[in-house]
Amino acid sequence: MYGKPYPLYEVEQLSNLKEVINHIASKYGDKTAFTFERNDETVNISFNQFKADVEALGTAFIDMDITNMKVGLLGDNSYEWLLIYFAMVNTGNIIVPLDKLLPAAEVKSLIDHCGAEVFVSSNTYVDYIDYLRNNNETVQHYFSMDNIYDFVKKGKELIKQGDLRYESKAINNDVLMALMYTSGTTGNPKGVMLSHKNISKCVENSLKYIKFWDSTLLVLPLHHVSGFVGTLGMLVSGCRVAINTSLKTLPSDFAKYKPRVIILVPLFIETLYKQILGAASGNTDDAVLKQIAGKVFGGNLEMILCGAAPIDKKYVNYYLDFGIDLLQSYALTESVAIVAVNRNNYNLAGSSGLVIPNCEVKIVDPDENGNGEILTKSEFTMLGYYKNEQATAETIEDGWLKTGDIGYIDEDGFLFISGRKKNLIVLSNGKNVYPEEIEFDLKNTPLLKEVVVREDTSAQGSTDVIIAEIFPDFDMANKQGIDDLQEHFDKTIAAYNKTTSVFKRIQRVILRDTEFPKTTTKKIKRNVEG
Amino acid sequence: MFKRVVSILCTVVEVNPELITLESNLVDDLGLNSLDVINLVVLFEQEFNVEIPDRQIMKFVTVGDVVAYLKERTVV
Repeated sequence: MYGKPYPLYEVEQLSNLKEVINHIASKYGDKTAFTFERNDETVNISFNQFKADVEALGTAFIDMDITNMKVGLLGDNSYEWLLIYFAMVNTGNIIVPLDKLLPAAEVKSLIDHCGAEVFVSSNTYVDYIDYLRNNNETVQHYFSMDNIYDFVKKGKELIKQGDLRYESKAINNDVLMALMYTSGTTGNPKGVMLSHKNISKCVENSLKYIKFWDSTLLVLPLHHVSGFVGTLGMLVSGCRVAINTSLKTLPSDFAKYKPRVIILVPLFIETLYKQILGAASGNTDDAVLKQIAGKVFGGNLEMILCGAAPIDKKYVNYYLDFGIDLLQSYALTESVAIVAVNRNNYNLAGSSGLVIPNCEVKIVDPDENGNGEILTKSEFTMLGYYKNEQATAETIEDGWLKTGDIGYIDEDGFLFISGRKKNLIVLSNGKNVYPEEIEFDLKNTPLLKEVVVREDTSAQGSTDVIIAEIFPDFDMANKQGIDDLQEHFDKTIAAYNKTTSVFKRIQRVILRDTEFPKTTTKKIKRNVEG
Repeated sequence: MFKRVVSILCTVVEVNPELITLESNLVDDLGLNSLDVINLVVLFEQEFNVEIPDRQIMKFVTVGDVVAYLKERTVV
């Protein structure tokens, strides 16, 4: 741990995204808000221009009677994506950001589910428009992001002629503004309903604990709430947001835009670290590694905010050696983006940080170590799941959101995540075992590619049997001339058992010939046969 | 083509080139993650002087997919 508690940062009150735009334009004016490449030229957009573009586009939408509609938005990260988002929600529409990695048929099923009347995508994804035109009946208006400036131009002309409809459009802070589909794209979609107030208050309260400054590089996809809300946080902090439009140009974008702060997920943090080690060719000298890291990240990076998934705490120290603070957070879409976060000058590696202001967290039915289900209640708790009253009732009770995560809060207020409630193993002596903790410990075991730890439900009698099912790295075993993988893993696990608590010991190791079934985001499906 | 692809692969992944086949899965067999695959694609673009769109990258599952794609788009 480093640092100690210190006062909150000062942040203006924010209640809706129109207020956000007005606030950042009046505070930062002609300072650069966005910078990006277009047709091999660098484009800079000021805070004032951003506001003017949103107003113009919003006016054009109102002129076309596009208000109170649901709008599917699909495309690569871009200024235009953000422009459309703001113009739509500030004219009373509901935005439905969509994952561009989903096949057209799955996008259609989400569009059908929410009954979107408008669909916007870039020319790169024109095939989605073709597919929807042929297979969907709800969409009445199709727009290409590539032609959006025609509408901006039209809106500017209308405003010039005295059109005040955008400016006078009142925003209802408490009604549905954004529909975020998180899972179940087929069968039973779960659309998280968020309001203007949900998103604005989450940004406002997060910024009381975490500070962004100078410049950032937008890497996370905007259709993920962490990408979008993170960008909002950067704008409210007055940062210049450089937009990475393709991960192929990530190294050159770091070099060109030299961000000071960035929001990433563990995949980037781990892979970039691996690249730094690779570039060092075996040299482990701290100064050498720091120099290479400086090159990889553009030379100015001082802070990384990590969200979405837990990261091994060793990376916090590795990055600290590079002169970069790595701050872990705890986030879920159902509570907009952030519930807890480590602070710039008060950071505990391995924890998910401190619960942010105006957000209540309680641990239900804690065991002797304080571990229990995490519940949260705040102005940024979602409105519910769209058209899914049963799931909403199961998830929100008396305003408390059941996160499904198990964790505890230490004496200093730092939140620790132990695992998912549905994966919890309760032993006959009442002890709780969190499979994710054991899997995390085993992650770097030689020749282990994937592992799932679970209770052996086939075991007879009262003895609790914890098993580890392992998909070995057969190629590497072959290379190393290891034939008996069962013997190898039995020995490795026996060694691990000596290092862990008695009740966490693994009694049986099962090997499998095929990888575990996975979701589209490459997460292991734990409870699926196969 | 296959040999050139394998030799580039071996610059980013520690694996015996003799074990790589057209059927080798980039993620499951070679241990690459989605960012590694993107970095690899940048190397292929430089080596074969082609532009590989982002949407195409997601369609590469095996080494054979990459070889087939490059064969179609490069003059041998």
